[in-house]
Amino acid sequence: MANNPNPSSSSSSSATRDAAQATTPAPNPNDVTALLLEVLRNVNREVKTTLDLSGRALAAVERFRAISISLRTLADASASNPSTSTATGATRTVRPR
Amino acid sequence: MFRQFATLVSPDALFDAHPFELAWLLEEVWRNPITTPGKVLGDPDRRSNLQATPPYTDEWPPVSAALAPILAPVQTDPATVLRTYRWDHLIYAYMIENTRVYEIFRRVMHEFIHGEKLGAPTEESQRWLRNTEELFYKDGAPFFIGSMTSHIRSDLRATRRNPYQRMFAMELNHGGEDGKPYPYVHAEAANNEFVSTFEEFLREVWVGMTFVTATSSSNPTDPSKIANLATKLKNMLMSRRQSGNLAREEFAAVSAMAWFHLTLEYKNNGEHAPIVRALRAEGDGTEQRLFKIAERVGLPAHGLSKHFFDIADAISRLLIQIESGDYDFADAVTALYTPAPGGDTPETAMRTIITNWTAITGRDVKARKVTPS
Repeated sequence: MANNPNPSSSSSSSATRDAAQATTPAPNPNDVTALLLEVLRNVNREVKTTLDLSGRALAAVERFRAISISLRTLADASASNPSTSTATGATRTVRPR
Repeated sequence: MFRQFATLVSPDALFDAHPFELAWLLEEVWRNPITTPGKVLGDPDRRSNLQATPPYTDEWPPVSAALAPILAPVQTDPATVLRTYRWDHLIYAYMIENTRVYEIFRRVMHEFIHGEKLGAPTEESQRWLRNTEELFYKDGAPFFIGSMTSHIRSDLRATRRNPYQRMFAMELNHGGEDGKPYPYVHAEAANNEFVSTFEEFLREVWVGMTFVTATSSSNPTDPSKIANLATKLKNMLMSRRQSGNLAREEFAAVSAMAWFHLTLEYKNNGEHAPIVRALRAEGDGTEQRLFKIAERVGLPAHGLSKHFFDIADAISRLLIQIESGDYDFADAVTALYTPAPGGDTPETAMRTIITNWTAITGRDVKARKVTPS
């Protein structure tokens, strides 16, 4: 009983248990290893949720944004606000003759 | 025209005039033609809708009210200051030109100028055709900074390929229309290690992205190496730019490619650029419009054009920052692989670059480098 993975099923008959064991193949050790690695990898990725930038890294982000603003295009405007793609230079104009 | 002028002034006055004066008189004629409202374009009383040079004015610069906001001063605290501008990195022009957009529009110009195989250009596309030919398919006006053609370098396309080779040691992926390599002057001083260094840089940044959230395993990210590679890139790029070298070539190249990029990119509430409408090349996506135009003129665009368009802005901004020395320090390079709130960050740009660079080159920079033992 100590090795029974499901205590609630202890009332089942031994014949039923034997039949279940007979039809369930043993898992491949490689599959188990792969699953364990996947679990560990996910645990790894889920632990650190807060990523803070400071100092030179934060300055680099701000500098990048400044460069982006100075090179802002219609594509940037559309990406930031799809409903206002006419904001910068997109309005068609007709020059006087 | 000059025979009509001679009825108003002495012919000698014309013969003695400065050529600029004569050219200006012709512009004045073009500016003030006989025009009858309601006539169709092309009628003897309404020959054309192309504009002359801006009229003489005491105010400077001579741009129309529609264009004035581009030059308008910027209101800042506490003063109003003149607007300043930045242009893209040369790598932007390289990426856009790789789509073959310049060659395709060259074919468009050729067809519209020499016949009606593509139909007659529409009224509104006349101006686009004129501007494009004037700015990007002929020798520039004298003294303008973007005029690159001379007796020393007579071919605009070759003039752009030379700085590509010097800065990145990269060739465009297409040659001439005959399929042969495009002839241009190759420089001895070129950044031959740019591609290998840049790919190593991308590879190390990708490692950082993969492990940035990891806490319980060993983290192979090497910020010092990334900073070292960024410095190496900066040094090689800035070596080609000593004393402002290649700035004019870069300015001319990115201006030309931005014109064609805008023409294809422009889509506003279902509207398209005049030439795109004239060619019946409307479609969703910048590259799809290029493909349609390419099909019309029988010159295929590069199949990976979408990746070239997508990577151009991001890689331009990154290289500008690298040249500025922003990533010369190990504690700064975390910005390259660490997500930051607000979007439009170095990390998002790096993801765009890595994805599209891999697609363009066929070399997976996400794969770890294998070192033979």
